[in-house]
Amino acid sequence: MLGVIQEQHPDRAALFMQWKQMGWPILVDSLDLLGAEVVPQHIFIDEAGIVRAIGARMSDLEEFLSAPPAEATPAPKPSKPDLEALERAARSGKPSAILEFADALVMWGAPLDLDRAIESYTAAMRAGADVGSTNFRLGVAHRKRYESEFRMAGDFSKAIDHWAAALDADPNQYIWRRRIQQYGPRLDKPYPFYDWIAKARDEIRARGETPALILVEPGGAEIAQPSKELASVQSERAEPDADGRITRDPKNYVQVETIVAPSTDATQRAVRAHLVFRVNEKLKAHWNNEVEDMEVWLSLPEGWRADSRVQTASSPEVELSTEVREVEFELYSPPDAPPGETEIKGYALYYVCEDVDGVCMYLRRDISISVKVH
Amino acid sequence: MLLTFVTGWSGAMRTEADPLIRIGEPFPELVLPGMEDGDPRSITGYRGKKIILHMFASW
Repeated sequence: MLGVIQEQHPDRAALFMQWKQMGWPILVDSLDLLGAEVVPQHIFIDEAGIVRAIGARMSDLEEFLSAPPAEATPAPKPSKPDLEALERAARSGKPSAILEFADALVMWGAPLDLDRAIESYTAAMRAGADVGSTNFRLGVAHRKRYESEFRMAGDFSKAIDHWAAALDADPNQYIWRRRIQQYGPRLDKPYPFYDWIAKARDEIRARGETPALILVEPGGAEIAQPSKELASVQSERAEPDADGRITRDPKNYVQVETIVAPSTDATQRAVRAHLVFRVNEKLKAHWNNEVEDMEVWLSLPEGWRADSRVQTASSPEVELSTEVREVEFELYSPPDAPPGETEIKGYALYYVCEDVDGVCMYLRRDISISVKVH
Repeated sequence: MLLTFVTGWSGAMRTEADPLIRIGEPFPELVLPGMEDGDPRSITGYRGKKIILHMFASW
């Protein structure tokens, strides 16, 4: 038994394997180079490496296992590709060679190599590479860089855009669709993607084991339950700064990135907005956790709805901290909304300190979320 | 192994004009990172054994 996973985060699959006590070797195909369009899926391969069944059924197993062994020739030991040789080949300008180089950079390169991978995928697309799969891989590279120390502004947004472009090119591609739904609105989710993680950790600890480490903890959309209805909760609280009297963040002590994940079904008119807040490292800014939690309030245009007008990012139980804070909203456009971009306005209120011993302030940051209506 | 086989099934791979994996042909010689250690692995590296390949996601 061998496994191949198509997930963006193989460490989560490792935890799943540990939880289910599945011990066979797993290969990671986050770029979906094998072209899988559905999972789960079983493939039978004989001793000679010949594919005997795709989408195999339980009833096929006995016949496969009892078939006379095929004559096998020894396979070469797998090794990492020679990146320099692939780079030289990519200079030929052939889309396949450029893609091969980009894929190798994503799979085998250092995080800093993701810059060149993204450039190479873009060049491959210009050279005529397949629009769907190249966009999907570009999205994977952007999301991977977003989660690295070399993150660039807009990486997460670009990942979503490229995955959406990939799905637009091939709406039957289940793997690509799931990658968007992982971050998208609950209305569009077939299931909660990673809600099993807490239970898995509990059960693994109960066995006396240490759960496998997860590098990027899933939250928000990634663990949200699916919904069949538009969620709309009215806050009973009055808006705290309706008149805009709180001082605007004068130095960008807190920086915000806005990402909008669409539904893969345009008729749902739903998106999930991810707002990511980071304290400014250059100013040595810190969250001040001795006061109220950070809040984000929305002002919705006529006819628009949200699952909540206010969201809170809770503070850790330490005086000062620098963690990334994420807030998510689901937004629904009215049926008669004109096609095009609509700006949803809002603001964040937070307590932030300049350096560890510096001045602490209560500040406001205005936010604009651009939602595309189809 | 069999438990996974039973619960994991949900349909056949789509037939497209130029699929990478075809019945009767060698499985692609693609080198991928192993989940545990990131070391290079390939399905063809297991030649000589019957392979049940489980393509899945933890979600």
